[in-house]
Amino acid sequence: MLSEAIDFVGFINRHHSFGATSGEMVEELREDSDILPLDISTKLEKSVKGFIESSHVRLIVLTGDAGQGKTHLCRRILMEYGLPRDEAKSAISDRCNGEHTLLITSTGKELRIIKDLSEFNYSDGFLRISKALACSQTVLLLCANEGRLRAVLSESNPIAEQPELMKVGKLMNDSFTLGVAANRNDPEIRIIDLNRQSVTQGENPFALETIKYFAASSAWEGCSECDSHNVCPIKRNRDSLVDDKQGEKMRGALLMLLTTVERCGFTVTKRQCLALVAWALTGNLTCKTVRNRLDKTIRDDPGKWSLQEIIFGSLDNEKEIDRLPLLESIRKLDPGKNADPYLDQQIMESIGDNECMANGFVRSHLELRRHGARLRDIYRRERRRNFFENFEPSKAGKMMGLVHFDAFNNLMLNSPPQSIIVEARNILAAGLEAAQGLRRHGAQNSGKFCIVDPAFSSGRSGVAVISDIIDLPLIKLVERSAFWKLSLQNSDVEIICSYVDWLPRELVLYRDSGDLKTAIVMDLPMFELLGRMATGLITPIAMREIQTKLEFSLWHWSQKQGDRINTLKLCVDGQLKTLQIYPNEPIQEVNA
Amino acid sequence: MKDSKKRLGEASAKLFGAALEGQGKGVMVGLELLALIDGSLRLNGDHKVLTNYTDKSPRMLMRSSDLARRLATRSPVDPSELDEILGAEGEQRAHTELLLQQLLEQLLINQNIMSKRRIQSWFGAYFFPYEPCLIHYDAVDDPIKSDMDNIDKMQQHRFKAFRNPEVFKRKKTKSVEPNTAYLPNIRRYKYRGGGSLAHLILRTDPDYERLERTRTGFTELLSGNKSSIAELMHRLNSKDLAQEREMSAESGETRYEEVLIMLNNAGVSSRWLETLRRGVDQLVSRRDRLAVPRIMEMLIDWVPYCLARFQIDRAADLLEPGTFWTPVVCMEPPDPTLRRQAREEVRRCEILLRNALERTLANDNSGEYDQKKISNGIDGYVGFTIGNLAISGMLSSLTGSRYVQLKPNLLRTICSCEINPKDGGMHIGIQEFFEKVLWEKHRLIVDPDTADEQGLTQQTNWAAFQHNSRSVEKILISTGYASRYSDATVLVRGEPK
Repeated sequence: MLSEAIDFVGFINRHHSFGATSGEMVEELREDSDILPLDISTKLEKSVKGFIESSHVRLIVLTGDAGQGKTHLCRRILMEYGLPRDEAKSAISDRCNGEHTLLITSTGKELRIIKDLSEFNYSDGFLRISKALACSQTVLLLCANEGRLRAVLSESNPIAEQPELMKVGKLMNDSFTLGVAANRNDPEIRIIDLNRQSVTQGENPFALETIKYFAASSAWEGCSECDSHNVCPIKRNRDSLVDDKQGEKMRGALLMLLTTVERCGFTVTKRQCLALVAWALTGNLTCKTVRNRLDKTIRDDPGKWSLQEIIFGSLDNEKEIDRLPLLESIRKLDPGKNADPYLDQQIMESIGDNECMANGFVRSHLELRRHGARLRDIYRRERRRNFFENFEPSKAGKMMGLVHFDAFNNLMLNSPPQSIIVEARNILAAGLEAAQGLRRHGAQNSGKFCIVDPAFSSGRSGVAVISDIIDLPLIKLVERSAFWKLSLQNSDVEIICSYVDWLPRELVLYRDSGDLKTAIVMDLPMFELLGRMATGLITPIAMREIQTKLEFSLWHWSQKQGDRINTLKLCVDGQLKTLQIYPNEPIQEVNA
Repeated sequence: MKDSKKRLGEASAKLFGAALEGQGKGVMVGLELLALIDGSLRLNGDHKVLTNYTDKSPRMLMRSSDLARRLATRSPVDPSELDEILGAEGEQRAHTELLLQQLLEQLLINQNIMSKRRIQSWFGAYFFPYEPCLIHYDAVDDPIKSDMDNIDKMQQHRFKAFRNPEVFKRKKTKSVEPNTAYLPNIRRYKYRGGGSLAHLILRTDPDYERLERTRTGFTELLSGNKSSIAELMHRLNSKDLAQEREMSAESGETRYEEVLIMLNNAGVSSRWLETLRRGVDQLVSRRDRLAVPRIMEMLIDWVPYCLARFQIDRAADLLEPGTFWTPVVCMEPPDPTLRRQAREEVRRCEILLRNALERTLANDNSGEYDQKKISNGIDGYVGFTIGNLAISGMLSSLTGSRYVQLKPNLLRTICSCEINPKDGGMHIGIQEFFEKVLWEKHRLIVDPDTADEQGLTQQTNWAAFQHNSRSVEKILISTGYASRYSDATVLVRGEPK
């Protein structure tokens, strides 16, 4: 049993990219059948199976980042149809070029798969797609990343102008911009953008299933035979995740972090999710390192290898963090960096006055710096530990440093109350004004939204020319999928939310009766930034960046005016003023 | 002994087409160009801008906007000048005047770009052409002369208030008495010829279709919708002391025929003339999709950038025919080795310009000259080019020890000027952007592949260049000029999304 556990830790370590091998990270290279098969079912799998069984569908396009599980899904589909694991695996390796019939579906159609469109040149790619569309007796499951698909369909080859291929191209564009998955006018094509799915949603969220996959294996039973099981950080991390009471909080905290990262605009692929959990469990330690105490911190500083410290505090080197981009995003939410007065007071009391004040021990600046670093480390560790072990969803936002976290989450509810929407919209409008360099008294309660003339949005003096003033009720705030439905205004179209494990993660602010293309899409960081700007916290760098992003939309929002050339609306030192400029009359300042 | 300053001016004109002094660097180049084009549009009407090269001395209307600029800089304004605009004196008028001053001050170009020193005078302050109504020509405070614009000499006493002590200190000429009245006069002060050279380059475009497009673009850009600011400026300009008047754009210093010959035989540096014309055409054609102030900003970055690159390549070509400047770029945060190289590039460029000017002077057999004075004078001419590079966003900072770096404003401008929807698609891949745009068109070494091709990765770490390309990618994405797609493809666009 012990050797089984040793093998299993090695197996886990092959799931992240910090060790010598990372073979389990690529579907084609996985040898999991020997130890533990990865069989996590998702909503997408059921959707794709439904498409295959449909009598109309001829082409199913699966697109998404590398590591989203396209190839894995193909194998799972083959296994669903009764192919043994090994056979499915060899079919994926050898016969997924779109030319071989892999099986016959219950509707009597031939299922073919192209596991990666990048394996073919552009014209070959065209031919295979158009061939599939032409034949009513086959269904082609096509895996392609977005760039390749775009390149193939926009290649200036005359074949791309075929009506069938043009349909695919149009649907592809609609899929990327408006979340369209199917159009009843083109029943033979389905496009699923896997980047829209979430690892934290669904009946069995992929992230939780991943934890179960690693932590609940019977292979861990062998650990009790190990001499080092009392000091083993890997076992402690595993136990903390599977424990009934404590484990729930730990899993909840991890799930919250992943959800927040997704809402921050980062696409968490399945591969990255697996890698994160694997890395958090072991920190790339092996049984040999633990048993022989090869790393002296295992004995001297066991806290260093706790799950939360591995995630937030273990790697300092930027290049190493680059190996797992998810880690970089998750570290921006480090609860260790955000002060909590009550918790910090407790930490201070537990450390003791002498340690805190360094009374009499400090002889030099260097020592003082070291002492400061030590204290900072203690505080950070305690805050992180508190976040995981005493996890409470209602306090999570503040602990992650996001002041407007709860407001954003409330807007993501299925149908949020109107009062919440109005409050958030007013804050965002005030934030948008601040982002344009406008500091207006009582902006949040004025019921108006001022658009600054692009020429004056530098915010370097107290005067701004207002190009338009919009009544706040004319500005609408909706969740992204609701906005898609609104933009499409077409009952024949189905959006992707119903086909994948969907997480609402973006809000859209638009001007009613305006061009919907000028809507402002905002994720959690932008919402947070605008919220902070509304309260007067503005950093020049953030403001410059956000101005560029907003400029186009706001410029178009204010396009409708133009006939008021005899009045110049100004905002001076936070107050609206108007200059009247009538021909043959003196220029006058009048009340706004 | 011939006047060394004059000789230097002649050498610069012979080499680059105009006497390009440091005073007229940076934003001044674009402002001058816009003033010339706007002036000819207002004089000649639609589509009569950038007249053909056969028109040796195109005429145009120049306005000074002196009243607005004096108000903006709180310089002396006689209360009677504002009577008609603001009405009779009183509390109401005082409020309106204050508001007007605050507004106009906001319209001035950010002083940090212009100079480290605080601007003392209204004529050293310029409006940024956010809207066409804010375009104006140069003007200075001049001692009253009989031929001055529309000023009744009998009323000199009224305008004594305009005498600016700073100006008086500067002008230590015998003809200027302490009691002399100074009045605004349309005359070149910081518009030193960079803009008129660009104007000449644009209107001598051999591609007639493009020239016609540029004319239409400028016509539509500058004669856009009327706005309340335009109305305000119209009222203020009508009360300028230096009233709008008709002038010639390239009179005096420009030896027209010689410049034309020089431009035609520019050798390798002629690519920059083409780049300038191509970019301007692209920018003015994007008026439906970009806000006018942004187009103006980009024009003001693009023109001095192209002129500076033209000058450097022209200098390199003169010293060693067929060679050109291919700088290594070092993005933020800088890699020390790369930064050293990029700093060397700036020094090399200074040396090239200095040597080229000295050689041109030496080849000119028009007598002896004061070596020391010439050497000092050359600094100003080199300063014009380096200043243009810095202000357009190609150097790491405006002053001090600088190195070649692509600032976000220049990157945005390059995208808008070089990514042409007509050349196959609205966007190009990031690698194509590095190779086809930054390297092939702009001779900038940014990414590792180009650096490898140029044999630079032997002395500098490959990772430093990779960091460079990531940094450019990051800037483009954050400014909306590029998008990252699911397969890590990054596509660059000509307009922000």
